[in-house]
Amino acid sequence: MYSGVGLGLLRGDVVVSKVDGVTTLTPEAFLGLYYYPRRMSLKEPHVTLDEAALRNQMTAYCEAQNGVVGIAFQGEVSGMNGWRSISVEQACQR
Amino acid sequence: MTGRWDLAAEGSTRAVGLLRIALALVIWVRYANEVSLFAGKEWWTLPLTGVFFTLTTLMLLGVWTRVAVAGTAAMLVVFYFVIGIGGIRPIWYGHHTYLLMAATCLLVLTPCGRSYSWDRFTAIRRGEAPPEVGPLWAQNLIVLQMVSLYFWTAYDKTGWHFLSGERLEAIFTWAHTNRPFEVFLDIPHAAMAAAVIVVIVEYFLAFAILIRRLHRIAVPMGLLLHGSFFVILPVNTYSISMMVLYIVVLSPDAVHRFIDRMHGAKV
Repeated sequence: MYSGVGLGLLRGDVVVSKVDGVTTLTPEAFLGLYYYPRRMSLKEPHVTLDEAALRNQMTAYCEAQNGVVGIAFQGEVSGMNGWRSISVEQACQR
Repeated sequence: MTGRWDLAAEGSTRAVGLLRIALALVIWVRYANEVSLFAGKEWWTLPLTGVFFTLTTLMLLGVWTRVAVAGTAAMLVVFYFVIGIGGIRPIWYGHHTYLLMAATCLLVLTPCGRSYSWDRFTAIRRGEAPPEVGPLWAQNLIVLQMVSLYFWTAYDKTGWHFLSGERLEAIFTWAHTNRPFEVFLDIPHAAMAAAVIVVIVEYFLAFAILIRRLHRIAVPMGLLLHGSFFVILPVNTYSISMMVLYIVVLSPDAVHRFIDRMHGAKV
């Protein structure tokens, strides 16, 4: 463990809008994780330090999934001072 | 911890001898898997494997003990500052690797080969065994290292960011998401209670391990604290290192007498 552990984690719902409906994912499922890795680095792609990082993760999700038209997150992100609210909504570009 | 704090402090060397053996084993647990021949593709894996296992084996057995422990300490300094901070293997830069390095560096300054070592065994065979007593001012430095660690880690946590339980919640989220312990995270205010307890215990230990009459409370409390960390969080070798360091918190002569009693010797 190092002092950066537990930073940049999401807590909340990821709402994925598809052409055939809406699905709600956990942050881990959205990031393609089941467990968080034992050894984490703040540079790793699943670490969400700010809104810009979350937008990049959403873009990557849109590119990897078929039929997704939009994605939104509402919840909190962990930082050195505790949890703070974060909310991002983004349309997938085709 | 000896009864006096000056350079004349001395006592039984059994505690530092046992610490030498324990630290060598902890160093193996921490690094052996990452410096073995199968672990790296770089050319320097081969000499690294040789140097690592030679020095740590000599340290463990107590062969040319002072040289072996000094060599191991120097190697850990390189691991931490050059390979860890240098970015070659960033995971070697962490509080658990720092603690191992610092404790081994301070152990160099103790007569840790005078007990439980091949050096002692061969000296006994020659009829030249020195008494198991030696200068232990450096043992006190190891205890001060622990005091410093407890104080500053508690100081760092003293603030709403930690005492609110939010930092601990995030750490638990990282460690326990989709794992069986996750259900306990939903208990209201559990993280806040745990955070407050941890800070109080760490501040207490920062002072209590210096006061011999508090050892009956402080030592079990410290071992319980680190045992809990070891089970609940992926702390690597940090907890086990702290637990083995407690052997030098105790009075060296009390450790000596306890071992005598365990062996059935009349004291």
